Amino acid sequence: MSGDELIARRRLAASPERVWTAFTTPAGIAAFWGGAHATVPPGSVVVDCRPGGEFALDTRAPGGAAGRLRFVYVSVAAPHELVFDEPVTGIRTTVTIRPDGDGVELTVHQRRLPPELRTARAADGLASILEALDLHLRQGADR
Amino acid sequence: MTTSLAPPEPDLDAAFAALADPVRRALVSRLARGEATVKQLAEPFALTQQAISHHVGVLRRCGLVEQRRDGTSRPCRLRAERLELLSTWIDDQRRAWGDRLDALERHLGDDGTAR
Repeated sequence: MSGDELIARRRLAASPERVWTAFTTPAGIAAFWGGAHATVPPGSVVVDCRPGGEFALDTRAPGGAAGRLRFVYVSVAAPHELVFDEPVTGIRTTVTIRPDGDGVELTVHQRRLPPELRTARAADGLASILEALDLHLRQGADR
Repeated sequence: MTTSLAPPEPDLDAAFAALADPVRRALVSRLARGEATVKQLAEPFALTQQAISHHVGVLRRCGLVEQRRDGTSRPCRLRAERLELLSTWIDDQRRAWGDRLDALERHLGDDGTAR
């Protein structure tokens, strides 16, 4: 358990522009947003890539469960940083694309949006909480 | 496993909000090492026992801490299973993005071959 707000980091053999395109065009989003467990119909993706604009998509899980996801762009700095909020959950996601040799290092940070949690200190706090949990579980105090 | 950003359980909101406070996080860290009374919890802080009681109350109301009666003292105990709910939620988010980035990598690979 690394226990901070970091969700994912990946080195990709592609230019920043290509990764940016994947994140900001309907075809790109449809190609990967569902991950391994859902598909995103390309026609369902709408993108209005500017601060205050939305992107939205449908997901279809193999079991038939479908849902529409909606996100609102907070800031757009092509091809390096994209910040968007998910209004239903209040989650803020920051996608950072950094050139790294002949590829990029892509980082996706997610954090919850309640104002009191929008601080670096709160992120550190989450780390310390999860460390506390880890310590507790290792000591087996509850098991 | 969630592939979408499933809303967290509503009752997690109170727990996340409670943990936004550094004193309460320190209390949770202390309680992870074992039970403690409010008096014991107050020792490392430049805070009154009343202030610590207030923070313990917030942690109790969101279910992260429980207090039992032991004669005249009321030791506080961490409810680790509640913390686990928070970490499970975070882990689900992390897994969803791991999956998604696998798919992105395949997409970029396909794209490169096609050119």
